[in-house]
Amino acid sequence: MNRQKMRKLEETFFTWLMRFCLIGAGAILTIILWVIASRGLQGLSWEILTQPPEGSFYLGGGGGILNAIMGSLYLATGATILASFIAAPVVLFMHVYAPHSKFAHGLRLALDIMWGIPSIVYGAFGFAIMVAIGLRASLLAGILTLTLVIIPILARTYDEIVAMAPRDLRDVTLALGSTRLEYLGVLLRQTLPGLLTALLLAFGRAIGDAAAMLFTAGYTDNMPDGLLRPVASLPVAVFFQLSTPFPAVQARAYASALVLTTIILVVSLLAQWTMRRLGRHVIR
Amino acid sequence: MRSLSVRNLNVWYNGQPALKNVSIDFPSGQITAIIGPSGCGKSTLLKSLNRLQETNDQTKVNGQVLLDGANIYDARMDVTEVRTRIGLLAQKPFPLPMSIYDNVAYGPRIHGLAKGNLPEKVQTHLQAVGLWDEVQDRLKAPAVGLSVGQQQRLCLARTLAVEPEILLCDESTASLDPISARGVEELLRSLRGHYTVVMVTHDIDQAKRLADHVVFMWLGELVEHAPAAQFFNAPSHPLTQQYLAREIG
Repeated sequence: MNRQKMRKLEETFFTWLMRFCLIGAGAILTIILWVIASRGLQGLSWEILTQPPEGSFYLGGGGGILNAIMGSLYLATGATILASFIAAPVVLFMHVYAPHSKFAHGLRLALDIMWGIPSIVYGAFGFAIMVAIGLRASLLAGILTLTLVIIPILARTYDEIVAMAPRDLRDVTLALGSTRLEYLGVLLRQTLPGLLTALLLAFGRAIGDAAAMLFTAGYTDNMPDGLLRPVASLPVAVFFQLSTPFPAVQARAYASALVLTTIILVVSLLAQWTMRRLGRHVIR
Repeated sequence: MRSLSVRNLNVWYNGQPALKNVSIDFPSGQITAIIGPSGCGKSTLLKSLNRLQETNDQTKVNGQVLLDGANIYDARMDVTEVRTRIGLLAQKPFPLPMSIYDNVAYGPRIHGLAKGNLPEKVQTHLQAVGLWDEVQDRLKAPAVGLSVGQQQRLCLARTLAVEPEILLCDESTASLDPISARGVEELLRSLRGHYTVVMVTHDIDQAKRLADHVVFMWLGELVEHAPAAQFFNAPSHPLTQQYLAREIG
């Protein structure tokens, strides 16, 4: 076989190999969504979306998961907002005030390690702190623990995005006599769509986390009714519902998972739309 | 008109010398062109004049740059003030990530230069660079939507809006198409007498068209500097003669 033919064969072989992987990945995602949707739609009803559970809910009785939907939204939104107020300044500081420094290098390493820690460990850590300061399982404790879980995700994702900002941006902004803080403002404007992507990723992780919530947010059949009161969340609701022996309740677990997936989808679409609007001014 | 002088300036990148003992006076109100082959230190010299060199943390600077007799590298000197008084037009047009209007308004806003007359100020500077008629109906549009030539004129308007006393240009027409380049060149020519302009250029012909005064650099050293007519007609140094004859570089 001559060299030309060999190259052509190589090209065909690897193209098909990649197509195969693509189909595999697509198939897995489709199956997951199909299982959640087909089983979830059986358990889904207007009642489930609009009411908290009644006493017999976990035995197949009436009521819904509104407590967990609202609880999850409160937990994830609170944690995402809180984490962004910590992570964004840290990242911008690393890039504007301490670029290439040992401090920034060490911080990145620490964040990477924090990213890898399983969230059950954050839960245990949060619980230990709560016991020490006398805080009970509550919305506040849940938000604080989730904040710790997502800070590394938010910070490292945003860090990579800020690192991609053109270097000329720094030079032209400083050349106009800007202080470094003013440059930081311009850098924030340039990377705002990216920050939103990072927030979205963090929100998705926060709203889907069950392990950290078990000890810290607790669980309740009541609607969220205060920062210092226990709060339900969708992943923990899925866990409890799946643990029952009743098929009707298990179907509700899939309905809850479907609601969780839909929330993430809606938030993603909203974020994409916002990103397009914010991205008008971004220098590419 | 402000005076700008360099005294025994040395710059190192990663321990490698990039500028070796450069001393020169830039004539006030005139256009000085710094020419030389790639890597000769002309951009380094330019960026040392407004301390933009420092944004690269592998850089070490030694020597003096005197603005009206005051060393801009003095510890008591406020670096933002230095960069406000000595503006820079970069090589590539690089708008800020905001609207056309906000790009020009940025400098006056941060320096508190426009008390209540910001729109007029923006208009004046956009007119000065011949951009007003092209953009007046879309001032709120993103600056990235402009053509490259328009962007560079916007960048000039943005730099001038800070009201600098001295203007540095780093091969500011190199990345433009020939027509836009001519436009920017015309603008620079119109600044003669109003600003002290120091420009770096690759293009010997551009230096001939624009410069009142020419500086020739070679391997980090200042080889020769003279008024343009003398420099081009009777260069004294053999390296300059060879460079102008395009035998080296």
